Amino acid sequence: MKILIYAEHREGALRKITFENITLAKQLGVPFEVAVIGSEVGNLQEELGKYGAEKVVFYQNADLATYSPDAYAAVLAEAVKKQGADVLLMGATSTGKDLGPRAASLLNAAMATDCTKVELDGDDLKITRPMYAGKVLANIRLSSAVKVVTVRPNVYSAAEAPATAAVDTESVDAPGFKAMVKEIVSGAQGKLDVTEADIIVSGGRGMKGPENWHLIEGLAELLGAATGASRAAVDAGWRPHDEQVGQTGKTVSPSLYVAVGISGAIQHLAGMSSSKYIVAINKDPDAPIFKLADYGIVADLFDVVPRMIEELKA
Amino acid sequence: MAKENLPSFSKGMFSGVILDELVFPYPKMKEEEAEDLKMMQDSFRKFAEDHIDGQKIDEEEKYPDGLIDQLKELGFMGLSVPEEYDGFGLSATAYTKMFELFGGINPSVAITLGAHQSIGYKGLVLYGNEEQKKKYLPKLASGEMLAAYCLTEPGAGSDAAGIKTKAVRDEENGVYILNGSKIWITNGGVADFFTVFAKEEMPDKDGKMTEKISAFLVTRDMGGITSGKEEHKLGLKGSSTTEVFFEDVKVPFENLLGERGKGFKIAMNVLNNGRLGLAGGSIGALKVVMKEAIAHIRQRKQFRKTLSEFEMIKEKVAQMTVDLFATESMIYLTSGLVDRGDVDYSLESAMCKIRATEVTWHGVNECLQMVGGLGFMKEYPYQRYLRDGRVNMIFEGTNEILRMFTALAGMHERGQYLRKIGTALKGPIKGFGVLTDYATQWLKGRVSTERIRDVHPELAAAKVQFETWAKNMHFSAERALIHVGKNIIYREMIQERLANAAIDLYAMIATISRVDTMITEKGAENCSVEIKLCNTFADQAWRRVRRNLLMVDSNNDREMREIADFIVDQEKYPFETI
Amino acid sequence: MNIAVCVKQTPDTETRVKLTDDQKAVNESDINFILNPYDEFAVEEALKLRETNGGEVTIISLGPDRVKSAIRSALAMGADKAIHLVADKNPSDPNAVAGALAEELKTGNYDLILLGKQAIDDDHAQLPSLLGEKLGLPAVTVVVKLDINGDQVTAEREIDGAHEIVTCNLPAVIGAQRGLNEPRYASLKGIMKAKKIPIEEKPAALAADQLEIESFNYPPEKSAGKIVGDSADAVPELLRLLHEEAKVI
Ligand SMILES: Cc1cc2nc3c(=O)[nH]c(=O)nc-3n(C[C@H](O)[C@H](O)[C@H](O)COP(=O)(O)OP(=O)(O)OC[C@H]3O[C@@H](n4cnc5c(N)ncnc54)[C@H](O)[C@@H]3O)c2cc1C
Ligand SMILES: Cc1cc2nc3c(=O)[nH]c(=O)nc-3n(C[C@H](O)[C@H](O)[C@H](O)COP(=O)(O)OP(=O)(O)OC[C@H]3O[C@@H](n4cnc5c(N)ncnc54)[C@H](O)[C@@H]3O)c2cc1C
Repeated sequence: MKILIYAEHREGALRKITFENITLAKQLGVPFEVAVIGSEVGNLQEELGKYGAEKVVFYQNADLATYSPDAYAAVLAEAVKKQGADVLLMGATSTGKDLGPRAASLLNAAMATDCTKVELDGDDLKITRPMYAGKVLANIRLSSAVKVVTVRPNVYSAAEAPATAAVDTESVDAPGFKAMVKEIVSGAQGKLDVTEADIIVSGGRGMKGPENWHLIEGLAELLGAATGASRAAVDAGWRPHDEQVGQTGKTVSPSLYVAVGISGAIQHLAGMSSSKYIVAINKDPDAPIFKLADYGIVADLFDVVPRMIEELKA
Repeated sequence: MAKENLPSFSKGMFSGVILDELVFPYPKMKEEEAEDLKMMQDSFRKFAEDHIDGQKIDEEEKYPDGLIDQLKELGFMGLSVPEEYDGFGLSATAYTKMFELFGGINPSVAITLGAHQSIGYKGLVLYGNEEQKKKYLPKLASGEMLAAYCLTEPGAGSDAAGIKTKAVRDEENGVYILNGSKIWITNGGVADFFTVFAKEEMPDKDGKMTEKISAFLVTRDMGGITSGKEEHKLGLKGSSTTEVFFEDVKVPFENLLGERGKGFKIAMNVLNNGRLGLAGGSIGALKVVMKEAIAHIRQRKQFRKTLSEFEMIKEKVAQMTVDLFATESMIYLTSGLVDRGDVDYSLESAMCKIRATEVTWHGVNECLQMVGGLGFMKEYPYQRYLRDGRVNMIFEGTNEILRMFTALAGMHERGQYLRKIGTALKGPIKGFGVLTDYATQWLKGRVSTERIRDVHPELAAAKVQFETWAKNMHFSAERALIHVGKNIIYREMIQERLANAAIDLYAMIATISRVDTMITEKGAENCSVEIKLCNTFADQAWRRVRRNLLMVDSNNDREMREIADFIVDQEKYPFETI
Repeated sequence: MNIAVCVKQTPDTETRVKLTDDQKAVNESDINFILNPYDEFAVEEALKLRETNGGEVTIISLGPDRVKSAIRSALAMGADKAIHLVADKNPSDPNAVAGALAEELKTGNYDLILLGKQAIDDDHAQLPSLLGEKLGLPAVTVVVKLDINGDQVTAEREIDGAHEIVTCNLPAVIGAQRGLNEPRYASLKGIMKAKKIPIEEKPAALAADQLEIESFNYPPEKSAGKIVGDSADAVPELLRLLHEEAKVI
């Protein structure tokens, strides 16, 4: 078995999931290589080496400065063949979910999305992935010759394991380009996305209105957290769609999830129940969120959150 | 047009005959309609989730802007309009299920929808002629016109025959001139189509002029119609309830509904029809409140245990489940009878209304109790459902009036048989006259049977209890008729007991039929909970029946009357402790 | 515009998923099935495009007989035609599903293929991209805004923490995300009309599954934690616990 890790990057910087996947490959003890696709990407040798990558191939073409799922997929499928890998490991990020299936199709590979556990079982992989928004976990096997696996961010934490990475740069043709990214519009400047964040502070209908969101943002800033929201808050137009956590929003598994004024409807829980620690602030002692919370305060959030901000500042 | 002289299960029961082919097997909705129904329910549920906030409606005493328009656009105003008039022609069963959903999600919205189509335009559907239907039903189905049912007046509530609104024929212009006022009219402030009951002078069969009630289709654009201010109510706060005044309203002759002088019968038959929707809406509310309360007791801990572990809490949960299960069995057995089209269901629908509204009132109250102080708080729905559900025992026939109706109409059959008192029974409370003037043909030539068909052995005991107590009820009724004679019409406490017994018996047979039919389909091993529910209900019910029947013969009625008269005479509670 | 919308029937989001006793499958007996919520956005978008550009909307769904009710739901929203690719069960491998759908889509000469970005039961989120590759078409997934001008497509898609503006030409495959539109509710008229539209049945041309589910587990149950307090005075203790016990801040 040989693993190829797709190194995801945005705006020249490698993304954390790449390092998490390197750590996972090392844990499995399976030989692995890293493939990078693009035009200019940071300091590959140093950054990938830091987590223990030894062999990196950088597939380069100036046109690949623009992300295009079809063009990238073609290059990636070639890379898998060229580097002789039988497992393609990617992040279950928006890129991984977009690119993975296309590459899989080109490789006639079966693909497992959003895996939370990947184990070695002899010559094979035993994979666990949540289904039904995490209400059950499925133990699956892929029987294709090549397998594509995307791993949920934050499940494996990246561990530094310094090594010397050899980086080969290969110029490649860039075919395809049927769909092309014209521009990236960031939400708020430098906003951390909920799926990647290690800490999330989420607000719900209990926040009463968008004018109170400075509380959520203030707390998030002090904790270095991303901000999330319940669907009720999103539907009311208080928060953008991409902040919605839940069954029909984002699925997150941060180390800490702070639910403020969120009741904990089953659809919301589906998106955040795999968080390592959950804190709930709600004035209703019966709110279902408390069933899941590790720590709860039953009180008015307009007292509690300002106090948290105050204490954290101190 | 409603048919006459149809067999009635309950009237048969009062007469000692069990028409078991009317109640077995338990009716089942056609698969295709079940599929449509599910889609309609899904559509409403989704819509409600986004647009109906019960607490807000209650606080603001109004619907959010556009809510009613959206309901119109989605088609929820045309449920009982036949398809040929651009409606959806739901069966009574599907219609009742829809109302169960409405009533669960928001009783206020349910009543707005119900006043429109359960009673507002129902008279037109049942008694209208082709032209009238063509003219109005499509607009009512689309909601272009909202409908109201105008019977009650300041001087005529339960005694609806006492209405004063007058319709005078103006032969020259071919119009009736309508004058009068109606109170507590649901949709009164928003409707443009009114089914109005009014008195007109007409010759009786001897040619003498008498006042009789006729029914009219009146639209706001006829002029002369004004609505009073919105009433402030205990519940159902989003719905419109106002007075409606008619001042020299010119109603064209062609807007007479049904025959001249037959208005009272129309009024009553419309209500007979509407009651199932109300019964369905009621239990829908209880189901929703139960769900809330169960979530609470599963997790609230006292004395280191969840509330659900305490026996008195279990008792409440079990009792409301048993009662709800039996009530639901009655309602959908009855809707099935309506859908057959060849059965008199007037008693059954009245019994469903009584039982459903009371089981819901009691059940919601118990849910409130189970959650403690929280149930008393405005942020929680318990108190709101309790308030919203209160009026169900008052309108569309108060439960007292419906009990009288059940007992008297039930016994009327027997009264006919015991000729002498038969005519007396037709007596002064006029309403019952029309509702009971059917003949006994359907009983004639029938081999009298007190037994019902065999049911699954698991239910055999319940079946025997039913047979035994149905027979006893028949004897009790007959004894009462013989002893009290025509005074039975004044002996309301006896009527009440017989009605209560009849309701329990009908609920028993409905539950037995439902579970027996289920067992046939799924096997007893897959119906163990339902069997338990059925047997528990039957056991509780026959004990209540026994008590009620015993008290027909042996009671404190005289003392009770005397005490009441004394107190009323004193005009207050006059006693002091020593 | 000739539009195909691929839809799936999924359990409703309220469903408590129960497993069979051997934990090899999900027990379907108490499940209330609905049209996959993301597919509703796809259907809505198709209907809106039809309203402005004319044309036809065809619903395609693969699965066992019960999926017809999801097809009906989509028809009730206002779609014109429907094809049911009959399979005796839902395949576990999305690649197999994509193959069968692609076979059907190839025959239809569609300008646009819409579908939800993922189905809320197996959550694979692979289908839009798989279809793109199998049909040799551009595919844009997780789309929250769609503009079509002639055969020029401009789509805004959600990526982690930002949005991408993607362009491509028709025909194309679009994976719909929440936010794209507000799906209409099926009106009773729509429901009645949908009943009269025949659903064309064809056998699904399915390849063997290469993704197999061996068993399921329930996720480890989280026991309710502690209530730290009932006023803002509990905040210092909460922060201490997060710092010292949980070690997350
Ligand atoms: C198909 C479908 C998909 C869905 N998908 C999602 C999804 O992806 N994500 C999602 O979140 N929801 C989803 N929902 C919606 C979900 O069912 C709930 O409606 C929603 O999560 C409720 O949001 P909330 O908790 O903010 O609001 P509420 O349930 O109204 O809760 C507000 C809470 O705030 C508390 N509160 C109020 N004031 C204060 C105060 N001053 N101090 C402290 N606490 C206070 C209240 O006690 C209450 O518990 C979906 C629903 C459906 C039908
Ligand atoms: C919210 C609301 C909406 C309504 N909507 C409509 C509508 O849309 N259209 C319409 O026409 N009406 C409507 N009504 C009126 C309703 O139908 C009447 O209130 C009802 O019929 C009872 O009449 P009443 O209030 O005059 O009470 P009464 O008839 O005065 O009765 C008072 C009490 O005496 C009892 N009683 C009366 N007679 C007897 C008797 N013979 N034996 C024993 N007990 C008796 C009653 O059961 C009741 O408990 C509405 C009422 C309310 C509150």
